[in-house]
Amino acid sequence: MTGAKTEPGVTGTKTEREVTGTKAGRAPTGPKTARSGAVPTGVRRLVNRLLAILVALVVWHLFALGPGASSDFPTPPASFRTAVDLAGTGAYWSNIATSVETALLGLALAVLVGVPVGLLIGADEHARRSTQLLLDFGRTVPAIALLPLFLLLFGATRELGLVLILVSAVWPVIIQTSYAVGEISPQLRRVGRAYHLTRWHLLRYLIAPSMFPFVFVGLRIAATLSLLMAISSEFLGGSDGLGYVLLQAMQINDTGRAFVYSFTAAFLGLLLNLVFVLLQRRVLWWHPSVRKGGAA
Amino acid sequence: MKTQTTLNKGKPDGGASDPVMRIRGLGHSYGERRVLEGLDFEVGRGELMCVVGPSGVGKTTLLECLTGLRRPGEGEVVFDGQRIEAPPRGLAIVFQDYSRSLMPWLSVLDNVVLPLRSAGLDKAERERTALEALAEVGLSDFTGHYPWQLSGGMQQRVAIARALAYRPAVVVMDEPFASVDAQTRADLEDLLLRVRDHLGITVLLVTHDIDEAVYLSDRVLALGGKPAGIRELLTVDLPAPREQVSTKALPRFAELRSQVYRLIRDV
Repeated sequence: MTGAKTEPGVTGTKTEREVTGTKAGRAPTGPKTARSGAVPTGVRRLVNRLLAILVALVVWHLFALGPGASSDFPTPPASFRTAVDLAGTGAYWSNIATSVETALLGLALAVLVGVPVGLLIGADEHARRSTQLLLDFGRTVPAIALLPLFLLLFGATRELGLVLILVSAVWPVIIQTSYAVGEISPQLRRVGRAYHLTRWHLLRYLIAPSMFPFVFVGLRIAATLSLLMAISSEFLGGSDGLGYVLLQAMQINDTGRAFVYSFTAAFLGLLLNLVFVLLQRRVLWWHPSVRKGGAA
Repeated sequence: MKTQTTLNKGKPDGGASDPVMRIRGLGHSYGERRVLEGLDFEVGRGELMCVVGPSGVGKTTLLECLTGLRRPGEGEVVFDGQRIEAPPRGLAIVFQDYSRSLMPWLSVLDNVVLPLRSAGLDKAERERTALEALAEVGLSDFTGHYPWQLSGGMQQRVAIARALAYRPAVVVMDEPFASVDAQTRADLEDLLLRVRDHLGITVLLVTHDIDEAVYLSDRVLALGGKPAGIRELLTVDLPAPREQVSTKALPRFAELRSQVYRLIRDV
């Protein structure tokens, strides 16, 4: 997670900026930046990526057959078979659903708390300065370190997960929101004054859109943390979900299943990222990091 | 078409017949630093006045005081009989930095419509008004575009359309053509003259460009000194309609140009 203010695109992966091309549909006759030869590079990029994955699989396979054999390290084909078996069970999917649900509920909680707090802090330069240390402290405390305490208070319940998510994911939301307030352009404020925009129009058409790119980055960091903390709390606390079945598999030395659960968690993370990339293109189509065509 | 000679020429004392703005004893300081001192002048209805002065002379401060964006330290600005405390209705501002004055998340049309929305016009009315204004600046084909898809000159035309749609008595422009290339600048100057003749609005334009000031103005207000005061309020007696090549080739143009140049250069 990052504490410094971050604009979208800055934290975005390289792929993200590459895929942002197709939003020109909003302005039918808009000038189009010609990207001739994009197809061959795109194909080559895809081939390179597949090749990288293949290399990783081969290395994994060789490791599983060699040094890993003594500790039941599963090979890629074996893992694949386990995955197919597991995917046929309802329990596998309901565990995923439980973890995702916890993550989303926790994220909603973090946003519900973080955005108003961020707005309050951001609205006042004095408040921003005086809370700086507190915020830095809050976001650097590893939530896992607080787990024993929360475990005592809440036991192995979903509430435990939600609280853990809140205390870790709320910080980026607060920080980004408070920065966003400061990022509203003074020039646009002057335009608002000069043209007598009503309070509501100022908020709706000027302040909210100005802030949104920054808040969105906070949201994205918070979402990743939410998923991480949801699974971690299940793993360490023992409430139902992907983390818990992973723990069970490890306790009975079922490395095959443990592998599949781990990969499932990783794929969920990737999926979450993809959702946010798509969301960003949808809601921030006008932002310099996303838009196509035009300079200033 | 209205000719320049029929327009408000201004009286010799800096006044104007039928003034829309009166500036009385205007002065301003930033802390210890005095920027403006003792400005008295009037802007006539329908007049195009340019305020010209070297960079850093306090043109922007003057403009902010005139528009109500800044409260002047001394003196007063009276607009349509009312002393200005905040930007008055009936006055529209075109800012220099067009790219930061338009909202990138709103289409060209919505940028022009937004002030009308706050003014309480109904949907049909505000769209009609905005489309008229966009037609006036030649952007009828770009209403669905976003500002960042347009060139600098076109973006500034959007800003001008937004000002026109506001139906102001006075349009105040802060170095509006300073950030575009020479050809675009000439086009925008002529656009402004056309629109002014067509709509009969009053224009107060701040610039550091002497040629531009002489070419556009009915009267030029030459600002100079430290703190800055009015060097002279010069009536520009060039024939109308003005034209980029022939007007600027007139001997009188050259005379006025050197006169303004000397006025703002001398300390």
